[in-house]
Amino acid sequence: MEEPTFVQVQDLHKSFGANHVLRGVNLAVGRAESLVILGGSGAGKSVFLSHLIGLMQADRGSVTIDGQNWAELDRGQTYDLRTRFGMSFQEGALFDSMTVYDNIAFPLRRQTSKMGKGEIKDRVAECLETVGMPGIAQLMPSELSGGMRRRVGFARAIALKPEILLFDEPTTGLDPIMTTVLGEVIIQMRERLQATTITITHDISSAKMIANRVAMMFKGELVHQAPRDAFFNCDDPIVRQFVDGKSQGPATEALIKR
Amino acid sequence: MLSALGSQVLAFTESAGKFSIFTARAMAAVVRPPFELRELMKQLERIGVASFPVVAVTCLFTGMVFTLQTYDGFARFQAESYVPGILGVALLRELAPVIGGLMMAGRVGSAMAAELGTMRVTRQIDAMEVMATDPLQYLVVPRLLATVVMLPLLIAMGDLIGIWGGWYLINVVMDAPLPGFFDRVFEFLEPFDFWSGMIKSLFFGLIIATVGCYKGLTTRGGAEGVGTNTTNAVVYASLGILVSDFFLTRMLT
Repeated sequence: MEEPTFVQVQDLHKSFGANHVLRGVNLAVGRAESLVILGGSGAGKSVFLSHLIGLMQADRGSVTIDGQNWAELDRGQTYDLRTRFGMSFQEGALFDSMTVYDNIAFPLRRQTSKMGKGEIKDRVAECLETVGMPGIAQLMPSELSGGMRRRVGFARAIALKPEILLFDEPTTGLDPIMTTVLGEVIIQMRERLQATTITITHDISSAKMIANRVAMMFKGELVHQAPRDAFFNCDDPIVRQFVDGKSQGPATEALIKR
Repeated sequence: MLSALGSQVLAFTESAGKFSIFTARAMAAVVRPPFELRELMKQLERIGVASFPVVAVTCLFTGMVFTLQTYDGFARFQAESYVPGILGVALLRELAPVIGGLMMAGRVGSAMAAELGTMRVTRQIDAMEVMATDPLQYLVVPRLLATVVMLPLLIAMGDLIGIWGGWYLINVVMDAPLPGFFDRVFEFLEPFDFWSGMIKSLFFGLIIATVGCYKGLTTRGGAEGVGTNTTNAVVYASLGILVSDFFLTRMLT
């Protein structure tokens, strides 16, 4: 039998009250692929990402990860499937009552198969090394800058050596140098883990850097998707307006309205 | 007008239903592994030990004021010797649990709502979910257990402190020695007076923790949301204590 597509999203709909946020998203992502989803504010990117990891349930349609549909899993199975994910949140979402060390050790300690203290220590050091921030384990999140917090968030996301990495706006609000640094960190993490990565962003330069394939989300739908180079050279009007950053065009109305 | 009233009733019913489901799920999570012993110890310390001074001062002054008022009143018909007994009953059955409970709603209920609310709006709760950890088990259960265990203990100590406050007021401050003060208190009291106060404290602890955690976890909308929900947590927990106190008293007398 043919192996199912690793990440399969079919006709995904989600509404909040009268606000129809996702309007039939279809997507397939293979193993070790790096997909970037571009889109303006309010296009539904974050909501979509929440569905991918089962934080939200679809009103209609399905999200299937390696053959397992989130809607059909019970509590235990949901948590088991999530251990195969790593997710980095927009502002890091670090636990501010814990040190950097405890933050990264958190998913390791939560596992059902217990790791020894020494193993956890080694793994935390390794993760911090991967994101280029060794030696800060004893700091509190409040002592870190924005870019450092993101990187600690990355380190926490890769602690369990996940098969899928999700990045929610990894570079938003950072300076161009830090944006490039984080792009390199993402590429390095992906290569070390051979993980599938799905990144949502509105930052064109980091999209160009980390993607194999790019998709454009607009008004709750994926309106255009293509391999990286083809995407940035295509002449889809919405994509063109977004990539070139023009104020006039088909996307303007929707972006202002939201 | 009517439709506005109707939508308010609906909104109230909906939130009451959600709160009940939350409470039931929290109760179920208490008995389900894994058990977060480390977190529980932390909360026992933060909720119980750290609240002792507040409850002690509250009960001390409540005991003293109550004694002052009743002494003054009872002196009108030369019944001062009944003051210790009345103080014991009032304090153990009513004053210590209710006033101590209200203080704890302000102290720990607000802290829970603010802490969990901030975690919610900064997506730390989502991060926890993503890392295969149930916030109900990791955050709510330790707070719930710690409050339910610690509030009765704090109130039991508050009972003693309040009675001592009454003795101190009569014998030292007013310099009107009442021999055998403590004997009079404990002769008058029945064990059930003490236990009814403990049952009340246990319920009040349950109300404080569930309302505080529920308000925290359902926070939306940034700093403003955290502020509103923290205030609401204290108001609803306090109202819950005062209203349930009446019904508990009805059942326990």
